[in-house]
This record gives sequence, structure tokens and C-alpha cells, in this order.
Amino acid sequence: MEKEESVIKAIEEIASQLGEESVLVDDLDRSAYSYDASGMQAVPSAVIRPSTADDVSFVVEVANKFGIPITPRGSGTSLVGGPLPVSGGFVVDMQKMNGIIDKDEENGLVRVEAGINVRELNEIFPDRFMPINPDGAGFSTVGGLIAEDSASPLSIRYGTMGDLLYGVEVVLPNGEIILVESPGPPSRRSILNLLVGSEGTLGIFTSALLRLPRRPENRIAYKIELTDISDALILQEEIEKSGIGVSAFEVYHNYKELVEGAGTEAVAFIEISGTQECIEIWDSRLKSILGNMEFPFESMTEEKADNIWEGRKNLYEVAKVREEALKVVSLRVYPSLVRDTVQEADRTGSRLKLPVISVHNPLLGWVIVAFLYNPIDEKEVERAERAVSNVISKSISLGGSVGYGLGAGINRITQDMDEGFVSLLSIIKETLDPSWIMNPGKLIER
Amino acid sequence: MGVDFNDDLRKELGRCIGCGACNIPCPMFHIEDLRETEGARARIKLLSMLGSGNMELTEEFLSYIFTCMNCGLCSKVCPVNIDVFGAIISARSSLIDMGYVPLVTVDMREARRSTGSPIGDGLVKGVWLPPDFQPSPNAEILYFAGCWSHTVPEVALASYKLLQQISESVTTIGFDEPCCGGLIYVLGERDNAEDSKNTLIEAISKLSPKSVISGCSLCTSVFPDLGFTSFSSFIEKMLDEGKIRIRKSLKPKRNKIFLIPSCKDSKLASRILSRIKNIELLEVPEWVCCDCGATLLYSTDPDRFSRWLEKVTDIARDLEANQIVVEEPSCYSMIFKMLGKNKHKGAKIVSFPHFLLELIT
Repeated sequence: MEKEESVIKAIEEIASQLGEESVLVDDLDRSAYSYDASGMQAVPSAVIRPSTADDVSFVVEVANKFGIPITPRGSGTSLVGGPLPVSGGFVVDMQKMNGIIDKDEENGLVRVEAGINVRELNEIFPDRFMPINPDGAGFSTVGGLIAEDSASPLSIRYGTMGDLLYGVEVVLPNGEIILVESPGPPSRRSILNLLVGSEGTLGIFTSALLRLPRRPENRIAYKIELTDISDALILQEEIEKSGIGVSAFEVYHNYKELVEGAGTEAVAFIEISGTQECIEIWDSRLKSILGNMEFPFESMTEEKADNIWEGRKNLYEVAKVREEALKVVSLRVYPSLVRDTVQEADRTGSRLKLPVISVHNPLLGWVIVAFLYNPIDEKEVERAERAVSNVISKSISLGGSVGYGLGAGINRITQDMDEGFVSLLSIIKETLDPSWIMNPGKLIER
Repeated sequence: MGVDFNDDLRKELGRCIGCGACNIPCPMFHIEDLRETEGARARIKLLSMLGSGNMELTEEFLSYIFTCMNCGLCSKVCPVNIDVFGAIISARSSLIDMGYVPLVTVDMREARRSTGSPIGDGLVKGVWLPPDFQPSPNAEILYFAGCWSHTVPEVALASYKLLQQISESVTTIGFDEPCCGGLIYVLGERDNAEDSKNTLIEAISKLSPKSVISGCSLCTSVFPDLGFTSFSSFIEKMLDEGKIRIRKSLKPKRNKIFLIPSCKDSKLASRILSRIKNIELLEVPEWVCCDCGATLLYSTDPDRFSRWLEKVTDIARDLEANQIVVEEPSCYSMIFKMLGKNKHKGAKIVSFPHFLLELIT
């Protein structure tokens, strides 16, 4: 492919400042940065690998000068195409910036570079941990988690990534490096809330101040068989009424049928955690609820609980057993609409002849729908893409929003967001990034 | 150039969900400063693009697919159970069948034809044996050293002596020990690998030993049908059964041990070492392992192997290791050739059989 003159010039300028080894232009490298975990693809003109915030600032300035789009990328675990350069241009790979800058053990605060991943965060303090681990393997980077305001099964207790964020250093689209951090803990008045979940459209995060929560003293996990999707909602109500502090609650719909060929319609996983005294009381209350409702269940050891929550093995288990690929969409609806959304996903699956599994969190109203398809059957690939679009539009018409926990990503922009958000963000975007070079094609359209 | 992978391989490659879990333990990814291209995920994704006609097969691509540490760690972590390394080997094999043979394979074919071993380089086997050595039939234990062990005779000899402490009836094939074929198998040369394996089976069956202990873990893992037991797992079993005992303890100035384990079972040697009194076994990142598969990188891209070694020894230095113990003879041989006998970054580099032999006798 012939590169435009401006791209060549920009590459030369960046290479002379950052070094040749930090600018990747050959076909193998560009192709290797053309995918993430979304199944979609977009090939960059070049990949830039900065080592410092100053490097990032320089790259942004050069890109701005030549009007070349830039897309920041962490480790490429996005399920929605967040780090894909859909308008071409440069991908900025942040993984080399993965250091720990400083830490405050007493308050559980740590300042890290944006390319550090969840596994590395988990090793910083012996008694604290990173509860947001969306890919399960701990490969996701801090920058990506902030950009998408990622969630996890533990978000009931710990919130989303934005709730752990106390400050951030960001390179604005004009190349300016700014620190958004109050002298003390942030308030809701903070501009941080604008940057969290901005999906790389307002700047590139270079470092962050995070507060990691303490690891719970004890945990118990439960696997519960539900005959119907409505059971999950009844169970959720009972749990709320009895005051049990659930730290995670996920329901896998169609799981048993897809994995074992037959069985109950849904399987629920619940976790409670806290001090020994506390979870003993909750455990006995939960068991009595489950007994009264006659739901078969088993409670699990700490180690198995880890497998479920950190490994997200149940969603992957289906792909594993059936040897098929997954196409995923993340939605958030009011709890009363969870059932309708899941049923809509089922209907879409059966109309388009694709097996479907839905994972929902009844307390958050978070629904992840995954369609299974044969990756070498082109028609099936196309049907899987159609299925995802269909579920999004149906969910929006029911009263849902797109992108909770994973980000909205590609092809889900503007028309799927509320008008007020879109118009305000557009004004901010025009001011900060008049050339729209920063991750164009995500979240909002010009 | 267009390629035509079979449906099974295309589907296996297409099933990759792109999560990147296989990059985490991938040594190549870490050698190259977390550059996506070098990780296992990129190899699967790019092969998938190649198979679906979305990428061109260039000479560079071909060499890329045939160049990695061949550790197989990527296959152990896939959440959707793709045998990542198996898929890479299948792709290599298909490419060779289609006539796209990389230079590394051509060199290895030639070395095997002229010397009987793919590692070539004037390899002389059995120099650690007495000149008049004759293999004994019906022995209790046959020690299969493996090609690379012969390049470090003192390691082969230490292994042999350790086995002699366990049984009075130990033998080995000797000066004309055939190659097991494992190395050429991972390079996609399935037929030639099968030939090598059969030649080895024939040589062993003539001697009818009760068991075969392999100094090379690649042979045992690539060809489980050989029925070989790896040296380390045999040692662990003998320790469990009390047939040998670790008698000595480590002196305080020599007890901080950084282990470079085999990639086939990275916990095995550390379980053995943890039985030693006073030992302080340092925690090693999961991507640190090395065995015969890595010798392909060493032979074809020594600079890259050298970068791996630099990174690994840097970690050992940061952890203040005073000894680096290398489980696999093949790995020890490469490191020895690159760094020599002297201490490196404050640590003495020793082979696992040697290290054990000193503590057991």
C-alpha cells in the first residue's frame, strides 16, 4: 500500500525523536496491531511505541500537525474494537509504559503508568487487589480500563474502574500533558468523570493514581440452578430484602443446554465476602432463601470461586466445548427489563440460527450477550454481526444503554447514545480536538 | 503467495477470541518488550489472516512463523482450549507440504542427512563415555541423553552418574545414539520426525531395557508414545520412594537459587529443589523456561536468544541470585556457549544434574 506523503513525513519525524525501533511500519507489525478481542479488524499505517509521557505528547503533536488519526492501545483485550484504528492512522501502543511510579501503602494508593496490567497491579500490595479484571487473565491495562470504564462481576461491590480512579495524567489532543488530580480524594465535581469512559476520544492516559481495595478476609461462592430466567429476579429481590451484601452475582442463561446438551435454563453464581462472622450470618440467610425457593445449589471453596470470577471460564467454556467463536455485546438495562432483553437475545439467536448465551447481573442490570458462530463460515460470521446489531437496537428500544462495563466501541456510536451526552461531548471534542484526530470512529461521530 | 490450510486448521485458528492470554507466558513477547507482533496471539491471528487470504505469504512471514522459543506455554493457558502451539506446528507442517520451506528447515535437513542430528555443527556423541564403551542389553535403565546433552559431556556424565546411584544396571545407546526427532517435529517436518523416531525405537528395542530415562524433555512430550520418562520426573519419583536422598544442604552464600526450568513442566524441578535444606528458591516469571525447542531460536536468531538470556539474567541479578540452575541440558549447553564458565552478573550457572549430583553424593 502506498503511504500518503504526510504519513511518511510524520513517521520520519516521530522515528527521529523516539528512535527507529519505536516506530513499526512493516506489514507483519501493522497486521499484528489490527485486531483485539472483538473479532473486528482495522490496519494502522504505523504503530508507535512510546516510553514516556513526553514521547506521547510529541507523537500527538506530530499527528496533529499532519492531521493523522491516532488510536491508543493497551494490550488489545477490548471486546468492542476500542483500540482499532477504524479511520486509519497511527496506533499508539502503551505497553512499554508499565512502571509503578510511587505507592502509599497506608491508603492503598498507587501511581502507575497507563500500560501496567491487572496482574502487575495485583502484585503491588500483599493485602490489596484489583477487582476490575474484565478479560479474566489480568492482561488488560489501566489506560484501557479507564478509557472504557470497565466493570467486572465484582462491580456490585467495588464499582467500575472510574470508582477506583483518584487522578490521571493525560495527553490532550493538542499534545499538552495535564494532571487531573485533587490534593485529596476526588469529588463528583471532578473533571475525571468526563475522561473516564471517553474511549480514547479526548486524550491518551499516560499515568493514573488508583486506590486498590483490601482483599476480603473470606469468601464463599454459590452455584445455583434456576429453572427460569425469572427465578434470578425473584432471588435478587429476596437477597436485597434480607440485607445480604452480595459481592458478585451473575446468571448464565442457556449455559447448561449449550455445554451439557440439556439441563436447567440458567445457572447463577453468587459470591459473598467479608469477615468470618459476617459471612457466616449471610451464608445461613442465603442458604435459607435457597432452601425455601427449592433451588438446587452448591457452595464453593475459595479456589473454585477464583476460577469462576477471575477466569470467566463459564462464558469461555461454551466456546471451548462447542469449538466455536464468540461475538459479544454488553448492555445495561433496568433490572425489570433484564428478562425481556435476555429473551430478545434468545429470539435473535433462534431467528438467525445461532446459539446464544447471555450473562446477566440482576443487581446491576448488566447483560452480556454472546453469539456462537463458525469462524470459517462467512455467512455465519455475517449473521453473528447482524445478531449483535439486532440485540443492540432491540435493547435500546426496550430502554437499555450500550457499552456498560466494556465500552461502546466501533459501530455503536451516536445513534445509540442519548442526545444530551452526544451534543455536550461534541462541543468538548470540537474544542479539545478540532481536527478530530483522537480515536475517531468511537463513541461519537462528527 | 497463497496458502490453503485445511478446514480443521482454519477453524482452530478462527476460534481464537483474541483475548491475549497466550501472550502472558510467551517468552518472545517478553524478549521484545511486549511487542504484540512477537507474542503467541499474533502468530495465531496472522496465520488465520493468511489462511483466509487476508495476508500475503512473504519470505519474512515464513521465517516469522518458524521462529519462536517453541516452549508450548501458550497452549496451557487458552481459555477456549485452542492448542496454540499445536496449531502453529500444524501450520508449519502445512506450509512445508505446500512447498514453502524456510531456510532453517533446509539447514536442518542437511545437518540431519550429514550428521544424523538436526543440530549439526560437528556434533560428536558419547565423548563422555569410556572409549571402549559397549551398551548392555536388558538393563534396568537406559539413559537416552538427547542430541544437545552430547554437546555438554559433563552434564550427560553427571546425569549418567546420578542414574548409577539409583541402579547398578544402567546403560546408554552410546556413540551412535539416534536423534528422537522432536526438534524437527516442532519445525513441521512430520515425516522426517517420524523416521527419526522409528530409528530410535529400533535402536532401543535391540537393547530391551526395562525403562528409558530421557535427558531431553522435548522428546518425551512430543512423542509420548516412546514411553520415555523425563530425567526430572524420574528423579522426583526416586526421591519419593527413598531410593536416593539429598544429603547435603546449601551454604548461606550459595543458597539463593534462580531456576530456569524445562518448559514442559515448570514446577517439577522446583519441587525437587525445594527439598534441599536452606534453599531459597527465587520466584521466576512464568515466561522463563527453556528446553530443546529454544535451540531453534539459538541456531537461527542467536541475537534474539541472547536478548532472552540478558533479560533472564537481569531478573536473576535483581533477585540477588547466587546460582542459576538450568534444568535442561540443551538449555545449559546454549547458555554455556554464550556465557562460558565464569560467574555472570554475580551468579554461577550450573546444570541441574550437576547441582543435584553434588548434593546427593
